[in-house]
Amino acid sequence: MKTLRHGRPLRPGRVLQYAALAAVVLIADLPLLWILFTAVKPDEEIISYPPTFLPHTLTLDNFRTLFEISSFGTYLTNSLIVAAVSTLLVVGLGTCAAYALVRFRIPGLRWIGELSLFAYLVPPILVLVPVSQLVARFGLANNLAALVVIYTATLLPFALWTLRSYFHGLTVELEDAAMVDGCTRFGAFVRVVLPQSVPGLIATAVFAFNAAWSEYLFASTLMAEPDKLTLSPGLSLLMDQTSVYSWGVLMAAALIVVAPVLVLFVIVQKFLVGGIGQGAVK
Amino acid sequence: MVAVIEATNGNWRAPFIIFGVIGVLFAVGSVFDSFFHVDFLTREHTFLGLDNYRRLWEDPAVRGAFGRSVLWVAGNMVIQAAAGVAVALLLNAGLRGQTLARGLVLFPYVVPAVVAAMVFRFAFNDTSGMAGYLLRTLGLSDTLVNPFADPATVMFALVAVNCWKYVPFIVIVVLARLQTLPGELREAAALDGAGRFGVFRYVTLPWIAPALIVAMLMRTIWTAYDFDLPYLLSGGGPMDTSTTVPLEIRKLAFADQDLGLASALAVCVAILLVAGARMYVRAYRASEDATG
Amino acid sequence: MPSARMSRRGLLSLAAASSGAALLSACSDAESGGTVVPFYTTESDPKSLAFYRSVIKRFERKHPGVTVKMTLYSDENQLQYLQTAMQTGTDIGVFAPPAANILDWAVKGYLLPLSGMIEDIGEDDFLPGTRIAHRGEDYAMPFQANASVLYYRKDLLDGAGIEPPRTYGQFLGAVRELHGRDGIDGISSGAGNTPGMTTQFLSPYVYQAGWDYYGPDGEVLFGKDEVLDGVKRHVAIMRYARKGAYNTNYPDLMNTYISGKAAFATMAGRLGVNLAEQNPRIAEVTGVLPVPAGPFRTGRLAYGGKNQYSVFAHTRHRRAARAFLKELTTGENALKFSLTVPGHLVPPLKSVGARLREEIDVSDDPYLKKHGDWVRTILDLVPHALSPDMAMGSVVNGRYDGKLSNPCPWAGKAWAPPPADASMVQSILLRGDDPEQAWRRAVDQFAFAARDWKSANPEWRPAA
Repeated sequence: MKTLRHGRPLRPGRVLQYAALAAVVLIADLPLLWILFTAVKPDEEIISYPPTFLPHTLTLDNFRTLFEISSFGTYLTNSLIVAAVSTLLVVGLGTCAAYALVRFRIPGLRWIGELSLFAYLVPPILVLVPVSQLVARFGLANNLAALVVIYTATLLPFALWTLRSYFHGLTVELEDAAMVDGCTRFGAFVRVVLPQSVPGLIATAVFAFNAAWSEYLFASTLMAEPDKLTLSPGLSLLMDQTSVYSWGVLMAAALIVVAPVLVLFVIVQKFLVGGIGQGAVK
Repeated sequence: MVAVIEATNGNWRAPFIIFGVIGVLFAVGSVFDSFFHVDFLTREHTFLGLDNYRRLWEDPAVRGAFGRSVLWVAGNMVIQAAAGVAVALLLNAGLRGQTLARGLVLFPYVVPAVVAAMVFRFAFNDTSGMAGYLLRTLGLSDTLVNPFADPATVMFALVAVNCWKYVPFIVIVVLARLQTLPGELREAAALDGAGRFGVFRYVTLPWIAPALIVAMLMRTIWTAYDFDLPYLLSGGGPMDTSTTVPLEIRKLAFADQDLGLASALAVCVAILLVAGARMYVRAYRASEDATG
Repeated sequence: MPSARMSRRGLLSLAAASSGAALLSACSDAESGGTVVPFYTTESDPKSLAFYRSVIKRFERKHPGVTVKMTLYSDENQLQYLQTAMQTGTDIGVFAPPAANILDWAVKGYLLPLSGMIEDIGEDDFLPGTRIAHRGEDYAMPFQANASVLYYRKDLLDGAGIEPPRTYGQFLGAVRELHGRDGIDGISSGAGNTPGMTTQFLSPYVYQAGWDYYGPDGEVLFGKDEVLDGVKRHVAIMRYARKGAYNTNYPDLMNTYISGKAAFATMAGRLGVNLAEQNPRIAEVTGVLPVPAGPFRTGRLAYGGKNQYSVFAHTRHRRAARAFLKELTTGENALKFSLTVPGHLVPPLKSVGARLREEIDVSDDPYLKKHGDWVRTILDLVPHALSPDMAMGSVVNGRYDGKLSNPCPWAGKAWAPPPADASMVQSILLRGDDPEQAWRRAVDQFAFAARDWKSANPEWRPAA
């Protein structure tokens, strides 16, 4: 099962591809580098013109100020909890549902799948008030669990649809073979289907995590207490808090927001693009 | 995760029925509200019939917002789909350093909108902005530009930033799908004498189509209702030149406290989105049948 | 087909269990006994926050059994935050409603009357235009007034041999003269959708034209010919700002001046404080003047906003809430609060303002020592610093008999984004629209907002 790539000489087209790749990487990451460099520059250097790209003076003052004036550590923990739990729920529930949708012919099933899209057709800003009322009635105001439930609910249809498209690409024969070998349907699902779908699962998980990690509207309205705030509302509060604002402190905060997800992303990225290592398939 | 899967194994339908019903209830609620004047604080309903819709139709601000939203969604989707597939293919072309590049290219996607808005505002501020300085140094502009303050450029600038953030999403989806592309399919096509474009057109594209279509379906709906980036980058201005429908809805609902009118606007958008979604779903079924 | 089934409740409890104990421990203190006074604020300057904490601590010591729970929320989405909270039955206790909405909420019965407290303090002690009354009852306790002034670079003016401007003509001349020297802007002023921002920069030109946006009964005065002249004067100055300033926010405008890239800036006291802290070199060569914006009472009518606390009508412990509010906003505490950002948080009580003046002469605070004259200039202006949404009809046809306490109940609608005056200024500067046409459009929009609200609330009578 060889791909076409091996042993190809370096043609002009190849050079062009490398150039394109470099350009794409540059566009994608220059703003992020800019965050990093600004975060470690002193204020005077940040507002000087012409701007300096690399910092002339390195300082950690911005980070010190950040933690002095805000509870950024708390925001970080809260976001981590909410995003992680929501992701687990979304991927777990979504996987089962999508699998069922693909493998079983049950009347009305497609209909349910399409119905779930309705959840997206009402803009969040309009359901803000009714949702808040529900949350208050269940006594979940200022409780991170409320965010978990809301995020799971809003992200589940997405998981269903994406995973469904992945499962569809898998052949039935292997599962059937596994079941003939004595596996239950569930066993076949876990041992045969899931390993083949790792990239899809990871893609879905990354998406869900990211959406929950950065959600602003509901988090800022439902979580009022300072120790329950998540990152996005925390950041917007910080813009007020830096006495109308110091770019350095804001970029330090931005860096702290972005860094953990980037690290996480680097880790899962391996599975995302190379996840089908078993060689049993295709 | 396995625990969750095991526990819910038998009950995969329940969450969808629950959430589907909730979704439908909210949708029905909005449709209902759109025929009333709804008092914001007491939620008292006064029947208006089609008045809200008439007012929408006659309101130039709403029409303007509608037009900008169409531009916003179309611009975003076309660029994101094209660029997303192109970059995914580039990252799958077997170049050296590909694994590293994959990670680097996908980074913007995990940058929250608040942070993205912050860094682009900062880079393009015309007092000491790096981006403006670069453009000036390269001779592309004679002054520091702030594209978010100029009616002629603001929508393009917003689309550009949104694409910066979301093209990687399409890349992720397409790339994951490309991993499952059976090598023999491509080889067979190549043996049949198909050129590179032919392989792309008849093998790769049909293979990635289902995933791409689903990703675009989701992104279309989210983009249509995306509030964060336009709001944080230009606040709907200058004048109303970047006020898209969600900003208008927020204004109607919270500043004007007219929930009925806001709901009517949302219903109009939803109708369009349902039509759009039908198209996607049809395309998805076709592509599913083609590859399945 | 899988066979194991779970009930819906099982599913939910699973969801709850997997969200972890940390989440569930969260709502425990909600039911505890004792008297809890919720206190919601957007005032997030670290110094102001430290001040709040110390006041709360002392208040709690003085009133055993009472706890004050402070919640900080972001300025940006306060309207939607507060409205959602009210609808969900959250007790928001003592909170800071957006000025433009207070009257509307008072009419709807969402705010507690505070008249007793205002009488205790003494009605005469309030600066004009700081109270918000409706049918004889007060609904807000002001905690901050301010005034927008003109910051200018003495060194640049000296270098060009120009006197600090006292008239509009001199002002325009100086801005024009200094614009473009060493890449410096003539002025750092702007327009944008941030509520109130454009109005802050434009309104001195309207007032010093001898008119207001609305008259005492809410009739539109913005359409008077002299106002158009004022608009033209403002736009003439604004042409010497950078283009990015035509759709901007406060921080960018402040940064432009602080980084030494503008010769003038019109801003409230906050700019001075930040300037002294972030760029003392420029602070050293900065002076402060009233804004000379037109022929009527030149420089003696300014823009000034204010902030106030109200008490939520459905709060659980009304007496404790009122006691806390009084403690927070009067006497020694009011003085201390105003000193957390001197010149920006101007006390709305005359007695406190007088003590602040004394403080300037004796204080060890480095800012007051060095820039006490800036603070004094601002203090002098505050009684005549107006805003069209709070002091409606103070200036009519070249007459000004002191600032009125006359809130505009449709302000929320009249200045809803994009605000009519912001769009007017932007369309002239960015699209090259004819000023007169742009102005007529704004007049229509202001008239529409008033008509619309009045027709829905025919029983409304102005406070002044």
